[in-house]
Formats: sequence, structure tokens, C-alpha cells
Amino acid sequence: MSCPLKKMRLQKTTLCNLLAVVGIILVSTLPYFHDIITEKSGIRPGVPIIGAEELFTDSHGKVMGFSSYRVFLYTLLIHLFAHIGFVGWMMDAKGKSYRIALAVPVILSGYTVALLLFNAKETVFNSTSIKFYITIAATMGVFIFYFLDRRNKLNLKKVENEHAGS
Amino acid sequence: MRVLKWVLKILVQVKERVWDFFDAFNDDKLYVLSKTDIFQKYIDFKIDDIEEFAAIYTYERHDLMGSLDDRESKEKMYQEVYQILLHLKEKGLLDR
Repeated sequence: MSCPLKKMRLQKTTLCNLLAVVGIILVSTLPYFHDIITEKSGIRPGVPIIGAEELFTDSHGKVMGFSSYRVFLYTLLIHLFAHIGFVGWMMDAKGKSYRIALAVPVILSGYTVALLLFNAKETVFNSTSIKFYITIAATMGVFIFYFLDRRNKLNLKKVENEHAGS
Repeated sequence: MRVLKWVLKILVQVKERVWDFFDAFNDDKLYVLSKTDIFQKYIDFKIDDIEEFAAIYTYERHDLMGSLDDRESKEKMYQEVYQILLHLKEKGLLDR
């Protein structure tokens, strides 16, 4: 006779795995989502009108600063797609020495998604200045210095992990 | 010259702090070990072998956190618990 607690844990694990599978497939469709609900002339026939397009459209006929709802959806979801991908990679890279560098694309893509959602595309927050290039160069310099300065410790850790795995 | 040395010393200290932060971020330490808790459990479990106790303690904590599959985290916690107990044993605090 099987233990009910063990059975419940197995069911929970199965449910979590199933949700992860469905979630991964749904995330993979994000760059194509604009094609599912819109076409070049507007919202695809048969798609329920929930008023999102009107909600995001301003008095000048622009949708969150974009020429159409379709372009807005495409731009937002492709950045969201990249953001989710980098966050997933960062979550999976626990214990890896390059994990800190993954914070850069996560922050950059997250910032862009926030900009698009807050309709700040046309503002100064989205302008590329010399500060951006200096920040990227400085970040790269710091990470390279970190790797060179701690290479002995990082390599030792890698060897230890390999021994633990064998 | 003395000021320059002092500034350099401060910079090296800051650098080490930043590198430690990077290491912690890379390792994603999501648990906090309490020496009091480890010592209390060591007394309660009545296991003399510190290696065996460290393995059991690590397994129990990861079972409670629901992360028994996380081998790296288990290895890390095992080493930390073992080092804490070894330190206490060397001081003679674990003698029953």
C-alpha cells in the first residue's frame, strides 16, 4: 500500500512539471502572439474585443507611442520574450561563475519592457547617451577584472564541482 | 604618500567586498545557517559523528525547503555545517 503523503508529493511534482511544460511553450509563442490576435488591417475577425486597443490609444491615434496596436504588441512581446529567457537562464545558472554577467541583459531587457509599458518610449528615459556606453564599458571592465582577479578561486571551485559530480 | 597608501588599502577592501558580493550572487545562497540551531540539533539528534550529522542536517533542511534535487546547494550546506561543527569540536564544545 502506497503512502498517501508520498502520492500527494508525486502528484504535486507532476503538476509542477506539467505547468512548467505549458508555460515554456506559451512563452515560446510570445513573438508570434501579435499574429494570432491581429492582422495588418487591425484585430483579426473572431478575436473577442476586450477594449485593450482603445485603452492604449491616445488622442493622436498612437498606441503607446507606436503606429499601430500590432507593432506595439510585437515590440513589447519580443522584449518580454528576451527578458523571460534571460531571467530563466539566470535562475538556471546557479553556482556558475558567469551568473553575475547575466544580470546585465536581465536589467536591460526589464528596463525596456518597463519603458514600453509606461509609455516612456519617446521620453528622455529612452534616449541613448554617452552615459549608457560608459556604463556598459565600465560593467564589462569590472567583470573582466573580477574574473582575472579571482580566476584561481573560480577555477578551484569548478574543479571541486566536477569532483562532486563524478 | 601615507594618504595614497591609505586610499589604496580602502580600495582593495572595497574590491574584496564587491567580489564577495559577486560570489554570493553566483552561488545564489538562499539559506541562512544558524550556529545555535546546528548545535541544538547536534545535541538532540545524539549523533557523535559530525560528518554523519552534517549529512542528515543538510538532508532535513533541503527536504523542508523542497529542494532535495539541488545538489550544489546540498554540497555547499554540508561543507558549511561540517566546518562549523569541526570548529566547535576543536574548541572542545561538542564533548558529551
